[in-house]
Amino acid sequence: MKDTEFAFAVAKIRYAENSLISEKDLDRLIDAGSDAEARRMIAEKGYDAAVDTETMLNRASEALAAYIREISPDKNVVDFMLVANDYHNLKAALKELVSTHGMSAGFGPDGIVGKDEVKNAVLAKKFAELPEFLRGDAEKAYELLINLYDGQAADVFLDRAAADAAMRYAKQAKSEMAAALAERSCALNDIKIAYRAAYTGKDARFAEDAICPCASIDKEALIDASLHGEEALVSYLDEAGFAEAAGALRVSPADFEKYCDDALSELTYPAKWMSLGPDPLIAYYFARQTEIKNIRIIMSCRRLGLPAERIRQRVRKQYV
Amino acid sequence: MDKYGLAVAIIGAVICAALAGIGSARGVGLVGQSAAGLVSEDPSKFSKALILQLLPGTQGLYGLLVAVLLLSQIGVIGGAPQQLTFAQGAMYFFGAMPMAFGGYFSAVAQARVAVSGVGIIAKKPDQNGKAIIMSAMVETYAILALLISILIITGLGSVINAA
Repeated sequence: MKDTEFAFAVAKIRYAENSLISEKDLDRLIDAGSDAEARRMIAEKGYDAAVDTETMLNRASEALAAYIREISPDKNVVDFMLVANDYHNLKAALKELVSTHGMSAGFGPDGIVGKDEVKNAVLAKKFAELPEFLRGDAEKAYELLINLYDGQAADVFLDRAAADAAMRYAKQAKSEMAAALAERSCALNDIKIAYRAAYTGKDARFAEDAICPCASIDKEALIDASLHGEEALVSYLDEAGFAEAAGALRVSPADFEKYCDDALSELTYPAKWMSLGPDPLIAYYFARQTEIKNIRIIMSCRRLGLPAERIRQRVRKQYV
Repeated sequence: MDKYGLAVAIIGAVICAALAGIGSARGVGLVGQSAAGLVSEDPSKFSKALILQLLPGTQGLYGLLVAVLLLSQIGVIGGAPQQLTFAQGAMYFFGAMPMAFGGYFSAVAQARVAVSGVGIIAKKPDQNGKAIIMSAMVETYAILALLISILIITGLGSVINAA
């Protein structure tokens, strides 16, 4: 697809960027005198504050994906980011299916397909009704849950499948930015898994199953480092060109999470100066998702009564 | 070969009008798509976007001007076509080419700058003058192409008619 075919969509996105929440707005949200005032400020930015925060943010996320699909000449341009929602909803549906207490698991926003479609197919055990990209993975995860009673193995398998699917869809998006985002996201996720494995003392099998191969990470070396403990892993990351990630891990896992989100955001910044092509749409989608994440962080931290300075430390960098 | 001189000159006029026109059509179309995207969100920006959309349209007019000038010089407009040698026809042909190619490529390049200008209007409407100036800078090269084509064709006309 030619970059000129995105002229209409990019102009709409440029206008829509004016309504993104700025860092000053986030500061005001953090400093709001009460939750009611904070919700009023969010409503002023176009969010549906009449419902609870989680529903409001899930709806905003779904509306965002629908908007990008509506205006983009390539309807699948953000599928590489949406596919994570599908796998999250698949995990939630499988958990609900095997739950002996009829527990309703936490579904996220719609992905490439609607969460209800995933939920209904899984609860009816009609995996054939799932879209093709989910079908095989759903059946295998279900087997792991039913035959081996191994919820963790099912989760690990689906997380890995989600990362593989994201890489696959990023290639289809025919955008260098999409490919770079998927690659960096996969690498940072691998580091996260390796750190978790080192922290909890998991064996090599766990890391082998969970870590998704990607070009910027030497999988074998990462697994080997994780088997030698957290300090060995962080030292390896220093040498392997992930010094900033290592630095964030040394501070705390929360700092590392923030570093991951900010590092991915930075990849989208060149789209600010692009007038054509799919990248401005991808960047806008990512920016709006970061905004949604920031609102979630701020509202959660406010609920927990954390001081403003600590909330500010957790807030991700905004696109504008 | 000499009987084809007039035909070669006419082909030059055709290519000049067509290439510059295609360039402008592509350019105006591209900026139009972008402007439509902006206006669909904020109709009040129509007039600012329209100026940017018009800018890549001038190359088509320049191509038309050079083609008319060429056809006039060789007598096709006026009903008395000249008998040109192949060499004379070829000179007219090449005289029209700066405008043909300069027009085509400058229109497309100008359109891309104008599309970026639509982005400026979307985010900072008070800066639209800068967006227009940046896009108009590309026009310089269309004007230079127009100038050289006019100089060649009128110069050729004087020389050939005098002979």
